[in-house]
Amino acid sequence: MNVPLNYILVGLLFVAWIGLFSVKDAARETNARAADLERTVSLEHGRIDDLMTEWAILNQPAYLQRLAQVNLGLNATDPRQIVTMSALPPVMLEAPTDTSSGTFFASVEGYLQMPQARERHDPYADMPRPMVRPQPQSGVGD
Amino acid sequence: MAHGTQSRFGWAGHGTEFFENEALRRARMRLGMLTMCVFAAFTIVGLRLADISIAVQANVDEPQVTVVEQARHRAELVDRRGNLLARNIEIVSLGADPRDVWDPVDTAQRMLPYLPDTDEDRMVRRLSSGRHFVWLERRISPQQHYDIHSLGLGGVRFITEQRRMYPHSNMLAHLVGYSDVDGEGLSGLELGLNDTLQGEAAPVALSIDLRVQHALRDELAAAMEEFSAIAAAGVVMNVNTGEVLALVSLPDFDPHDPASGSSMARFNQITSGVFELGSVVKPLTIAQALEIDLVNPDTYLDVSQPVRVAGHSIRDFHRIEEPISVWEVLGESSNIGTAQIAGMIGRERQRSFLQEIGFFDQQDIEMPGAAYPLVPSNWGPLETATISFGHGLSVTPLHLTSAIAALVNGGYMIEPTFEPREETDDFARRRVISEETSHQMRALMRYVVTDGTGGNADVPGYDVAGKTGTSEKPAEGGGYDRDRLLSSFVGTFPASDPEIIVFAMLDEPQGQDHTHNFATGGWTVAPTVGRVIERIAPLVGVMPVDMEARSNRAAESQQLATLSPQ
Repeated sequence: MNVPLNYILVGLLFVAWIGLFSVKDAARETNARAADLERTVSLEHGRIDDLMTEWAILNQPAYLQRLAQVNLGLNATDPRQIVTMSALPPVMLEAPTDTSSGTFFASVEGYLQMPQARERHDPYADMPRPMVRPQPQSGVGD
Repeated sequence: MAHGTQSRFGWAGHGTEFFENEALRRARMRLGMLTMCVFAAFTIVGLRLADISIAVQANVDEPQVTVVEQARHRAELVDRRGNLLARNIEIVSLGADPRDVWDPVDTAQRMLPYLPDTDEDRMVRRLSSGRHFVWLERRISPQQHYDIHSLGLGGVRFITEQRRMYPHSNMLAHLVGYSDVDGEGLSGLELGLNDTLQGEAAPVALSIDLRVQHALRDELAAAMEEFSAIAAAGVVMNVNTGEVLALVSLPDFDPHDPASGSSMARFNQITSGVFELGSVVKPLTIAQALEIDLVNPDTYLDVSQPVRVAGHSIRDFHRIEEPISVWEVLGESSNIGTAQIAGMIGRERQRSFLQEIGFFDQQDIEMPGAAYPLVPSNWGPLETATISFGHGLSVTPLHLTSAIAALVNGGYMIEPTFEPREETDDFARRRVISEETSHQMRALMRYVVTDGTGGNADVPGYDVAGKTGTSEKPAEGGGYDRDRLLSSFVGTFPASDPEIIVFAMLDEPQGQDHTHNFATGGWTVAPTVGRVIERIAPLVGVMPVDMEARSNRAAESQQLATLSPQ
């Protein structure tokens, strides 16, 4: 019987077993860390979902309307509050002395050069009208 | 054998020492091997013990967590601007298997700091019950879930279920509908778009604009209360694409608990209800007569006497002595004038036009439960007359809204949709009247608002064009009930090139002092539609028309009139 060989084989077996154990342990640790990360991701997803739902609830138009009316005194926009740039009267400004911000002054210059008498479009110009406009008779009919 | 015997007895003495040494050496070797095996075995057992204890430590929660997925994936629903309308959320509930709980008192005491509303005695009782499963707390927060999870207590179970959440609750109840616990749509677009919602990962967008929906619901609810109506409904649609921007049917219900709503609250009046809508139908009669050149807007009609048809008299709301033009027939909502025009059109042409604009068919929309119109089986001269002003043929409000949209959008019938569309998209458009007739209809319907019964709907700058409607509801014993009205208004803006159409109706509104006790569409619903338009126009990007240009032109014409010879 070759005694040293036996010792060597048993030793190798032991070393292999230790090696296998440590690899297995490392794999298990990695798995555990991955599971932990997955759990964290899932929890974060859950939190994001909760926040988005909460945001949607806070974004309810009725709630915003109440806040705007009570705290800011706002109301629905009046059509007279909406104008286009072309409908604004031209404003005479003093010639700029600082020319460092070219873009801004160029636009002001362009604005100042707008024609005084602007062409206005009336969308009803070609709409049919009654030949004789009668007085409204009641306004309460169906 | 012979050699062995000789050795044993022939070389005694010296030979014995040799054998003793050899035996000792072998015994030592065997002992060493045995020791090594025993050591290896103990090491294996020891390491396995460590292995098990580490593994259990690392996965301490795994065997304790029971995740029950009660719903499949279901995509989110969002409005056209990406606002959330419906989504699945995970709800975690806390339970326990008392058989696996080591120490009920200790388990309860360790969990209690995270469950402030839970009674300790009750929890201990439950944990000691010996049953297979007990609920400890329904719907815990994600933080509570995390904290209790981290305690690693034996026997504790977390039950995860998916629940559909509707952040706007009642506001979109009829539109979005609701789904069951298994994630199957049961009503509204949850049912209509069920396959899409189950198949898509990305959010599914609707044509709805949440802000427009709110404005419509807010104003309808206010009108319902102001006029003590039993129900109200409305729809806002893009006339050029057929996209429904808002749909409201009041009363409504909480989609999280649909069973708590009455059957009336769960009924979608806009797509599932059919009504004899009354005078809002008149523009269709006028448009057809204009289209086939039977009249022009300046044709005058004598409406001073009731029309006798098949033994019945057709009268007006108030008598008009002078002959009136088609402008005034629509503006004053004359039943007599409209019936006369229907007489010119005739039964066959009327039927085929109404069929062409979809009044005989169920609408092909994503919303489930679209109603079939109620078409009279016997369509005689009386039906021709009454249908011309909205009695005798019942359609859904959405049928009417799409038909009126076709009259003002240049003459194209477009099937309504709840999914977003672009004007440039390729969708079915069917021409039903000419561009010229459509142009005239815009002017005629604008006249209803500037000079007729729809004055209360006007919004300076947005030039509303529209038509009022008031119909008497069918009485229980036959005929119609004068005291139970269905008042409505259909309005579109801006009249010069309509983009949006708004239909609203009130069921059994009661006249008020400020309406001189009138409950007609012009008094009750027209102002509501006006307010809706005033609120939604800036939201949908419709610019107010240039008021200054118009006042200049008005001043000019006045000046010309003053200068002209009298």
